[in-house]
This record gives sequence, structure tokens and C-alpha cells, in this order.
Amino acid sequence: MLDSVLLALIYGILQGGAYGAIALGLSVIFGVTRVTNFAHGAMLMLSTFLYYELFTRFGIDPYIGILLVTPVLYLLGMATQKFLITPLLKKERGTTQDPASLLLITLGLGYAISNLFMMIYGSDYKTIPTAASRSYLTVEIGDFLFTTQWSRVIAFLAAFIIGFALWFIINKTELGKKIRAVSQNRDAAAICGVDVYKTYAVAFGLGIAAVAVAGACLSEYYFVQPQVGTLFGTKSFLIVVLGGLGSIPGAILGGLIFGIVESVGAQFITSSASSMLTFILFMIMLFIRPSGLLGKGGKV
Amino acid sequence: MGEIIRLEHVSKKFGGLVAVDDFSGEIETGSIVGLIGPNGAGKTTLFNMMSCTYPPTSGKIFYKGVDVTKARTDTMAARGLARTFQVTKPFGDMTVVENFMVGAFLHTKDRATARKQAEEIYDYIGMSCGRDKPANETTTVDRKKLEIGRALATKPELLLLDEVMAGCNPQEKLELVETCRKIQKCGITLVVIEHDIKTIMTLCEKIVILHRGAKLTEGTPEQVANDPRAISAYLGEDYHAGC
Amino acid sequence: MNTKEHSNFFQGKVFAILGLLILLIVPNFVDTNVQIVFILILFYALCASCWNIVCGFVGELSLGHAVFLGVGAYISSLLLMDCSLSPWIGMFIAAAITAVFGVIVGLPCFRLHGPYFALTTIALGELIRIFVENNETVFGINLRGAMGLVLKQSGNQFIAFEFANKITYYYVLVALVAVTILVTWLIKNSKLGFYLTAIKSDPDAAESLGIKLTKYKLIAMGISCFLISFAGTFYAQYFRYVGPSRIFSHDMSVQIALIALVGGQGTVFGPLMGACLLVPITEFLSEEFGGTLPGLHLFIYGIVMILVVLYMPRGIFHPVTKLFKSIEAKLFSFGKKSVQKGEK
Repeated sequence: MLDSVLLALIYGILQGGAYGAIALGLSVIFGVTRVTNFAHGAMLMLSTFLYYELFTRFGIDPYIGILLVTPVLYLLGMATQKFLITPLLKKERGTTQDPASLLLITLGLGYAISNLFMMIYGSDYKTIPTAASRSYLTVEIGDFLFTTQWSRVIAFLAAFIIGFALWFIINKTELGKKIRAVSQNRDAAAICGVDVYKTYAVAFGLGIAAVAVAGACLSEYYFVQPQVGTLFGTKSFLIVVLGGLGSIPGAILGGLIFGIVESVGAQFITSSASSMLTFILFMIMLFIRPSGLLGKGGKV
Repeated sequence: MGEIIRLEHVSKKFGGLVAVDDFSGEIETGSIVGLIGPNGAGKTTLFNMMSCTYPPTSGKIFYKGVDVTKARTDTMAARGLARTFQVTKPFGDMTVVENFMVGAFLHTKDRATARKQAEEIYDYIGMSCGRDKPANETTTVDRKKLEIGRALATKPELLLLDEVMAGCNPQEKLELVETCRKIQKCGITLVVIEHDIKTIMTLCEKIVILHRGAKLTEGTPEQVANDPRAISAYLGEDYHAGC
Repeated sequence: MNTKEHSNFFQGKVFAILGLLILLIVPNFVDTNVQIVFILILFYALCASCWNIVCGFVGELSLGHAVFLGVGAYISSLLLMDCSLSPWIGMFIAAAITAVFGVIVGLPCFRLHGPYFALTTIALGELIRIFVENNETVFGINLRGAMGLVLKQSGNQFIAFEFANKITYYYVLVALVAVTILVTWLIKNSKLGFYLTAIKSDPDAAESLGIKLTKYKLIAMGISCFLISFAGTFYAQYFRYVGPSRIFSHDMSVQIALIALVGGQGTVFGPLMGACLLVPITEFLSEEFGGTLPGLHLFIYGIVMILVVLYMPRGIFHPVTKLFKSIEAKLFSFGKKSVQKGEK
């Protein structure tokens, strides 16, 4: 019993890292632009299909494919901001604010993307049989035996690499300075000569690029399917709210908590009930502390 | 007459910032009191606590003798306290009269009654933009009047006006001063936050000066104008000379 | 003077009256497949109108309203299956319970705003769906898990809410939609409507005028849930089946919200107009391409959502009525000219 719980805990931590990796981009986008990107899951799914195509057509492993796919998704993110969100922000200045419109437009985009892929690829589950997904890591300590795919370990580590990269860009570079300025006070930043909308676009692009990297790690062990996005998109939201919208360590922490609750919970109750547990956890969190575990306080 | 609202050792802290520091004072029923002080002196914070937008960190507030320190904003309106906002908050999708109707609905359920009262208020405060003009298409001064009218529609006994004259030209200010006098004549107590010293000196019977969250001095306009602390801290030398 | 007022009443309403007449009469003369589309139009119009009562007026975006639809469907169906209670009575019991449920759920949710509110409603929807799919019995009530509820054929008895032809179902829906639209109209023109619009526009100012924010939001929520529960009962009786993975689905919630948003939030006839536009498109697309291009209609939904937000953020209701009015003005312009001449 204890062994199985321990195993579940390890699997949960590994899966939680992957959740965190996916949620990071969402959190960064919200932190800077205040946009809750409901198309996040769809963009994750889109990236996994690009990896799938690269692998099946050209035999390019997703890990290498990152070099090709990430720039594409970066541009997609920038375009989303530039053509969909910025026009709304410009329109809403001065007139009555309707924050629902930002939410709706990303929701619509998510719907359009995921169903476009449904039309092209159908709802079949596809896998990418790469080397990493077929090689296993085995740890044996006495009676205790633990086996997992290497690709899951890499996905876990990716959370920290992506997290660090985002943290570095935002806190240690000239570009990051602009991003931080815009996220703290967009008008003041504009007065200081920062091109606010361009910086928003860059931040959006960065967030989507981050999810593309996470997508590569995910596609190494998970299905590629149009509806995968919705699943991970919803989870990402719960995770970033739990960890604190806009917080980089919060996204990873939230991911880990989610992974652990799901995996360990499944040991005691059914796995579907344990996914209910995550929803309940999320709702309790919202009612007690809406700014999340590591988020800065503030009105919601 | 007695006092309508009394504050006892009221303080408000936002994190480390002390916005209002141990403020005590009361407002006579039927009077018109000016609240002045430099930016950040805590005037609006004081208003927010009086209208129970948030409770003070310490101290007590009594409205008509009842402890309302922890009361809610909406119940304060029902008790007869109304306010306007420094940054005007019109219900933009509604017309001017419909804005007033929202206020009037506090004491009636009937739409026709509310409409009638709203139209009376429109005439009373002397707006000229048209009853059915959408509120977000009105001018600055009309927005200020809209705020006052909407508050009046709730039939208040105490009305808190937060910088209603800011952004208005001298002519419009005169109009608003007249409106305030008219309101006072109806037996409504007024507390006015204003930056225009001249206007407030002519309008108010009593003036309270706030400085860094604390009460610096209070008294009649003459007393305050001649108080050396007030002059040095807020009014400046030239005001005295100008008089 | 009298005649002028008379002509004013119909002015700008010719198309509206024409549209309503089409909805009332045409289904009698078309074949069953088209009748089904008409039924779906009104079903979604009903759901979207209910959504509009709370979300359109209050300005929060609920993406979990299918929950209340489902709860209504489940309760009335269970009452029929386990207690043999006629759905005509059961639908009112279901509506009352759903309304109470909605108020209880709304109490914590309405403390949240914007994306937080939307996310909570999504989470709630998913939570209920997973719960129902995975529990055979709850508190001794047989929910039948993911299987869903299958209603037995009663042999087309009126008392069992089962009719031989589609057109009867259709007129039941007409009545329900009429009631909902009437309620919406009454709300819009009452204290409640003014208060909700005020809350949507500026909650702080509203509160300063003595409006109890939570109270009025919850009243709206209660009414909305009460009415959408009828739609749930209708759904169950019409399809004779309630499947948790469809009725509680996120897609269903989004569809309801989208139709209301496209139609026009906070308007009385907007949701109906939205349903008239979107449902036929969806039905046509899934009919034509359902097999070859799965997801096409949802793809279109996504695109429509983007376009509406960008170009008609307040929905199609106002632009369309304006268009109708101008067309009408041109069509009947010679009549108008004679009036003007008379005035001169």
C-alpha cells in the first residue's frame, strides 16, 4: 500500500511538472497583458500536431522540432495579440469596459483552432513513437521498483527549464524590463516611450512559444488529438489560479500540486473522482484566496 | 439640531500607508461642511469610511447615534447617506433620467413613481442636456450633476460630494454652488470635498482641513483662513495676500 | 393624431411581426426534418434567453449554464421514472429545485468577477458532469451514471408529455419561449432590470445607491435557473433520453452563451434572434458535412464568436433592427411622404 502511494506520488510529481510546463505560458500572458487566454489549450494542441507532422513526414524528433515549431508559435502568439486583442484594447479605452470580450475572443479562437484540427485530422488518437518514449528509466531500491518513460522525466525537467528561461527573459534582459514596465502600468510605460502594444505582442508570443516547448515534451509520451487541448487548457487554468495568476513559480507549484492530487487521489478513490478533487481544490482556493498561493494580492 | 454623523478616533491603514490617522469630528445636521486638504490627505478615504465602502482600521463611526462602523454601503444608502464619486461613475448604457430612476427605486417599486421622481430631480438640479440622453454621452458638468441627482434620488439626509466641481469652468462652478445651497435648504446635510478654495470658502459654514491623514484645523471660513497652521500647510502665503 | 400613433406602433416592427408569424405558422406546413430545426431554434432560444436573464443583465459570463439545464432535465425525468409523476407537475418541482440550487451555487460564485467567474462556472460544469458520469446512485437516487436516463415510451399520452407529432412539441416550446421572453421584458422594465443594468455598468456606484449587489444577482439567477429547468424537462421529454456527457457538456454551455451573446446581451429579443441565425447554420452544416468534416459547425461558432466580439460587441440585435427599419422606411417611403405633406 505504502509502495503504491509512493509510486503514485512520484508519477504525480512527474505529471505535475508537465502540467506546470504547459501552464507557464498562460500565466506569463496573464501577468503581462491581463488576458486570460482561453485558446491556450488549442495552441498546445496545434503545436503537438506540428510535431506529429514533422515526425511522420521528415522523421524529425519533437525535441529537435522545437527549433522549428517554437518560432512559428511565437509568431502565432504575436499575431493573436496584434490582430485580435490589441484592436479590442484600443477600442475599449475610454468607453465602457467589457472585459468579457477579451475572454470571448480567445474562447472563440480556441474553438476555431481545435475544431479546425478536428476537421482536418478527425478525432483519432495519434502517437509519436520516438526514441525517448520507448526508453525507460528504472529505479530499484530493495523491493521498491519504479519504471517510467524517459520522456516523462524530461517533461518534468522542462517545467524548470522553461520557467527559468521565462524568468530570465523577464527579469534579466532589456526586453524584460519593458515587459515588466508594461505589466505594472501600461500608461506610465507608454509615457516612457515603451511601445505598449508591441510589448504585449512579444509577451503573448513568449507565452505561446513556451507552450510550444511544453507541447514537444508532451507529444513525446501523450496522445496527439484535437481535443487534448481542451483537457490541458482547462487544467492549465485551474493550475495557474491555484498557483497565482501571473506567477512563474506559482504555475510550477500549482502544476505539481495538481499532479500529486490527481495521482495520489486515484489510489484512494476512482481516477475520475480524483479529477473532481482537483476542481474542488480549485474552487476552494478561489473562494479563500483568489490571488492564488504565490500570486500578489489584489482585487478580482 | 445635534450631529448627523460622528467619527471617533478613526484610522485607516492600507498596508504600511496610514491614509487617515486618528480623526475625530462630527457634522451638525443641516449644515454644509467643507473638507479640504492637499492630494493624498485622506479626504476620499474618509468619505469611503463614512459611506462604509470599507471599515476603518480602528475607531468608530456613529450615524444618527447608531454605530455603523461595520455596516455595508447599501444599508447606509437606505439609512439616508448618499455620495458622489470623484471619478464620475454614470450608468453609461442608461439615459440621464434612468440613472436617477435607479436611485429613486430605493424607496419605491413602481416604475411610474420612480420615473416621476426622476424627472422632478432632473428639473430640480437644472440639467439641460435632455432627459433621454445616454449618460455616457454627457459633458463633464452634466456628469457631475448626474452624480448629484442620482444621489439625491435616494432621498438622503446626508450627502457627501467628492470634488463635484473639479474640471468645471467658473460659470459651471457657480451653478453647482447654487445647486448645493438649494439642496441644503431642503434640509439635507452636505459634506463637500473641493480643491477650489475660493468656492468652498463662500459655500461652506464650516471647514475641516486634513493634512497627511490627520485633522489640521477646523472652524468657520474666516477662522480657517486666519489660522497660521492652515496657511502654511495648505493655503499658502498668497491666499492670505490675495484676500 | 391617433392614426399617426397607430402607424408609429407598427413602424419598424413589420419585420419583427413577420418574423414572429413565420415562427408561429410556417412549422405547420413543412416536413418533419425542417420542424426539427425549428424545434432546435426555439430550444436554444429558450436556453439563451434564460442565460441572458442573469448573465446578459449582470454582465458576468457564465460558461456553465448547461448544469442547470441538466439538473432540470434529471429531476423531472427521475420524478417520472421513479415516482411516475407527470412531467407537467415534475417540471415545476424541478424548476423550484433548480432555482434553489442555482442560488446556492451563485452565492459564492457571484463574489468573483470576470475571468475568475467564468473559470469557476467552467469548473462547476465539469465537476457536475464528471460526478454524474461516475456515480450510479447518490443518496439512494439512481442516477444511472454515464448511461444517462432513458425515458420509456408512454404511447403518446399528453399527461406524460409525449406527443405523436413534432408540431405539438413545437408549440409547447413556443409557449415556454413566450413566457421567458415576457419575463425578460418584465424584468427589463422593472426595478430589478434597472438594478441589474446598474450593477453591470458600475457595481460601486450601484452599491452606493443602496442596491444589494448579491441579492439582486441571486434573484436573477433564481429566475434564470427556474426557467432553464423547463428547457431541461423539454429536452428530456423530446429526446426521451438525458445523457450527462451531452447535457452537462462544456460545449453545450458555450453554445448557450454564444447564442445569447451573438443575439445581444441584455436585450429582450436578442437571444431569439441569435438562435434564429446560428441554429439553422449549425444544423445545415452538421447535416451536410457532419460525416466528412466533423467539428465544422463548432469551427464556425468559433469564427462567429471572434467576428461578433470584434465588429458587433453588443450583438446583432441593434444593427439588425436598424437595418430592418431602414429597409422598411424605403419600402413604405411613399406612405411616409404623404404623411409629411399632410403635416405641411
